[in-house]
Amino acid sequence: MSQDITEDHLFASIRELSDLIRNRKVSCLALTQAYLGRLEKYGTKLGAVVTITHDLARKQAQAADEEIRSGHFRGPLHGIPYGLKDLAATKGIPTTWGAEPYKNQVFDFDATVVKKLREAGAILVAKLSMVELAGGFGYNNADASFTGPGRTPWNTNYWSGGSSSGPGAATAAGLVAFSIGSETSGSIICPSAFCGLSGLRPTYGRVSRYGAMALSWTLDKLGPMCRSADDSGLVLAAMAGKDPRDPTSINKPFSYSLSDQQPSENEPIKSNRKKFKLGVIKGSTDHLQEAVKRNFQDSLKILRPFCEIIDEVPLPDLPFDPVVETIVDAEGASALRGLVESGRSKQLRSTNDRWGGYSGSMILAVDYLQAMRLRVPMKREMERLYSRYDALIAPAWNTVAFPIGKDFDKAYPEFSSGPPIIEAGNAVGQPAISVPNGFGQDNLPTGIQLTGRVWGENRLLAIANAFQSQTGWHKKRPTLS
Amino acid sequence: MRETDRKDIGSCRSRRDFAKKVALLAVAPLLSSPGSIRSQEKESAKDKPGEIVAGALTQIVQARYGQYLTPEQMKEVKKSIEGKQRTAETMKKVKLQNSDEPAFSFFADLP
Repeated sequence: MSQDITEDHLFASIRELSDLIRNRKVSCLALTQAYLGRLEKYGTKLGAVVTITHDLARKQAQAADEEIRSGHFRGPLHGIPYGLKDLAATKGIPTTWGAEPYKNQVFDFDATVVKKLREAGAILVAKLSMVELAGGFGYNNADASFTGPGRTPWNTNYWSGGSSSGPGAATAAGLVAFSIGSETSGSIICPSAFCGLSGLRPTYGRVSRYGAMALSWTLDKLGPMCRSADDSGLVLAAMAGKDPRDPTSINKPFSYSLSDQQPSENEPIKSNRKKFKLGVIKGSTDHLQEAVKRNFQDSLKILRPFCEIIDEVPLPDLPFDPVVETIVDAEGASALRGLVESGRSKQLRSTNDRWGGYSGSMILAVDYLQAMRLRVPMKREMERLYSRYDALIAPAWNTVAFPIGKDFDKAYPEFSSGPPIIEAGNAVGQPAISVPNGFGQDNLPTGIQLTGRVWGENRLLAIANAFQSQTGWHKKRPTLS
Repeated sequence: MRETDRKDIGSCRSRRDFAKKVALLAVAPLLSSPGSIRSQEKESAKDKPGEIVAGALTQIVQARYGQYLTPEQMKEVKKSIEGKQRTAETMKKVKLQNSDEPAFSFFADLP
C-alpha cells in the first residue's frame, strides 16, 4: 500500500478518498497523519484551529484501518478525517465555544453528531475555531474569538466568515476532508461564501443539536461544510436522524445518492431532462459588488440549460429580520444567562460582545412571543411561495469577505444588504446550500445560495451537483505559504 | 420549604418591586408635572414611546449589571435597547389573531 499522501489527496473529494481507502491504496492512518501535519502547519496561521486531536485521531485511524482490513467497511466516511466547530461537545477534549470564559471547559460526553460521525467511521482530527458564543452577542469585527480572527485561505488579510470561521478556513485550505459547522442565522452560508465552500444548512430538526452549545434552541442547526455539494450530501446522510436527546429532531429518513439524472463530471446535461424550476429572489441582485453581480449572472447562464429560471420572485413581505433578531437576543440571553450575570462577559474578545448580552436580556416576553407567533404565518407564506419552485436562488453574500481589522459596517458601506434571504430561511427552518461561483476582488471567492422547501435538501443538492458538474470553482485550491 | 426556594421567591419579589419602581420612575414626570409640561411630555412620549421604554429598560440593566459595565458600554446598551424597541414595533405591525399560537410546543413527556 502506498503511503505517499500528496496535496491532491488532501483536496480530494470524499468519494475519491473513500475509493482509495476501501481499495486500500491509502491507509486511514497515513491520510490522518497528513491532515494532522497540515493542521499543525497552517491551522494557527489561518486562525482555524482550537485543538488538534492527535491521539484520538491516530487511535481512530488505526481502528479504521484494522476494520477495513478485516472486511468491515462502514461506508463513504469510513477513515475520512474531519474537523468540528468547537461548539459541539467532545468527551475529554476541551470545547471552548470560541470564548475565553469557556476555554478550559471539558464535557464528559460526546454530542450526538460526534457519535454519529464516529459510527460512520469518520476520524476527528481537530476542534475548529468559531466566533465566540456563535456570534449571539452582536460582534461587529472579525476579531471575535479567543483564538483571533479566522482567515480565508484565499487571502489571509480577509476574514473567513462567521460564526463557523474555523470550519470555513480549514476545509478550504485542505486541513480537513470536511467539517461540521452550525448556523443560527447565516453561520454556515457566510463562511462557505467567504471561503469558496459548499456548505449545507439542513432543515431545522434534521440533525440533532444534542451536545452543541445553545445560542437559540429554536434556530440552531448543525450542518456540513465541504468542498463540494456531493460531499455535503454524504456527510448530511451520516449526521441526520431523530435523536431522543433532542426533542426537536424529527424522524424523517434522509438518504443521499447521486441521482440517475445527475450527469457525470464535464458531461453535457441532456436537453430532454426535466428542468428544475428556479426563482431568482427579487432585489437580490441590487446593491452587489460588481464581481458578485457578474458571477451571479454568469451562474444563471450555466444553470439555464437545466433550469427554468423565473426572475423577480419576491419574498413575502414579513419582518423576518426583526423576528430572528428578537429570538436570538432572548434565547441567547437566557441560554448564556450565567455568563451575563457573572460579569464574565468582559472577558470576551469583541468589544460589542462585552455588553451585547445585557441589552439582549431586556427583550420583553411579549416581544419574544410576538416573534414566535409570527413564525407560523411566515412558514405558511414561505411554503406557499416555495411550493411553486424547486429552489430560489440568490448570491450567497452581496460582497466578498470583509477585511480583517475593520468593523463590518465600515468594510463595504456602499453595499447595503438586500432582501432578508438568510433570515427568512432560518426563521422558518428551511434548508439552504451555498456553492462557489467565481472570484471577486483580491482573489476572494463569491457564491450562490439555493434555498428550498423544508426537508428538501436532496432537491438543493441535485441542483448544486448539476451546477458543479458544469463548473470547476469547487475544485480550485488556495495557495498557502 | 427549602432555603433556596425562599431565596428564589425573595429575589423574584424584589425584582418585581424594582421593576415596578423603574416603571413608576419612567412615568412619574407625566403624572406629576403641571398641565402644560405634562401635555408637552405626553406629546413627546407619543412621538418616541420606544425611547421611554428603552430608558426604563436601560435603568434595569444599570441596576442589575451596572457594576460590570463602563459608562461607554452603558451608552451602547441604551442605543442597542432603543434599536430593539424599534424592532419590536416593526413586529407589532403584523396583525395576529388570538388563535395564532407561538411556533413552539410543550411536550408532557421527558425527552
